Amino acid sequence: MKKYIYLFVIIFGTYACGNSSSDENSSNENSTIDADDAKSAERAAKAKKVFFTVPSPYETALIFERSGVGYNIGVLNPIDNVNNYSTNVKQALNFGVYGADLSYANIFDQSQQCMFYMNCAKKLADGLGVTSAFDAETMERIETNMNNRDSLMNIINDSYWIADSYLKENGQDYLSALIISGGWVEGLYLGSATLDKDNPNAELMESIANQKYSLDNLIGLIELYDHPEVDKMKIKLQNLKTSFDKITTETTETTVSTNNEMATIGGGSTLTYTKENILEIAATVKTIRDGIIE
Amino acid sequence: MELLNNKIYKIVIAILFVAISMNGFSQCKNFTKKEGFPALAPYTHNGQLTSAKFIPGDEAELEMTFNGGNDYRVLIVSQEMLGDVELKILDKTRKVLFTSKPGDEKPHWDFRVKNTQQLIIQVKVAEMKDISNGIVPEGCISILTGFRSSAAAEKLLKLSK
Repeated sequence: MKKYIYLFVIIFGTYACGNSSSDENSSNENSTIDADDAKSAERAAKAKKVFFTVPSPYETALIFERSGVGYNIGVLNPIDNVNNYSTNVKQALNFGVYGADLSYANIFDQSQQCMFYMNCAKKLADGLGVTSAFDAETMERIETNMNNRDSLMNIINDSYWIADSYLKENGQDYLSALIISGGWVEGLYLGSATLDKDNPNAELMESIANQKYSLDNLIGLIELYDHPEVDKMKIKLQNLKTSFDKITTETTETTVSTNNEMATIGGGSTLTYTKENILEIAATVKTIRDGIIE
Repeated sequence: MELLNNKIYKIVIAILFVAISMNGFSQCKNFTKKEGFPALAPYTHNGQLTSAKFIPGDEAELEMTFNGGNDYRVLIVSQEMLGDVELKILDKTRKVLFTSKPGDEKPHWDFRVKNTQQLIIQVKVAEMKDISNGIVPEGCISILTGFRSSAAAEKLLKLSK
């Protein structure tokens, strides 16, 4: 009985600390590990923490815009589809998809479309239990900044960050991995869907080929999760990787030069590919994306 | 009865573990929001939380892709009790491209990349030689990356001159 009393005290103490950690002064808290745990802490210290991250859909959309992609509403996931997503897995994947669509519409200053896609994202966030991502205050900020592309994108990014951190906080980080996967796949799809099959734009082909690197990071990220739904996505992405692996890489030494107080990294890798390689990637990503939004 | 007691004990331990994990995440989230985001401006963050609890001697690596034509800021924010935190940026061959200065409160590096490439962000918490009262400090570290278009940044620079 005694040991349960001890445990109750520890749990109560933990929650008490948890409440104070959400205060404004949380950064000043002095969190510690007892000396008794020092040995296990030492062992933990030997294990290196490894993270992976991928560029946001906004960054990918900007890259494709610079490569000459134009706005085509027909390639976006129709807003009516939002009502089809009832499971949390579908909601997470398409929360990522609509986030990419939202970024794409925002880059091309499509305010009306932005509002529609914002509502889709809000609906899915609410379905996932992340009501704080698009709360009343955020929606008001969005309306106020509707015509300011950069401010709007920062608010959207904040909302996606809130969703990501909420899911990680609540032990649902596999959903967070699915959101990132959905957003990444849609970002690549939006770039490749506008590719002219007969006469593809060289810059756009290069931007698509460059996604080889972030696909590696995305696979690295989802491999950290052990969940059947993440495993399904892993298989699809491995299939896409097979297409990307046909692109060859030549690496030269990286250099760092400084000009105007900004360091510039030169060198690195150069990719070699054919039009057929890129068309194969476009076809594979379309199949994956169709499966996500259905 | 003993079997039942063991089961209850395991359940309580599991609840305790989840509670501690959630507390850790929440603490890191609030810390990142307060200390990290303002220091990342004017760069746009990527919407993903990359933070964890660290103790002295811990090391972490983050692998990510940096796109040609963009400027980036890689920023580390860490809770004070952890002491000195070092930031290194390495290429895929593990050649070191940048090392932060010792004692830097918020180690960061602003750079642009000519060609799209993968880089490794390495974070090391210095070992603590004198641990008072046998207490090992544990604190949150967040790795933040923000970007902006190099062309847009150049335009802003010209306008400011």
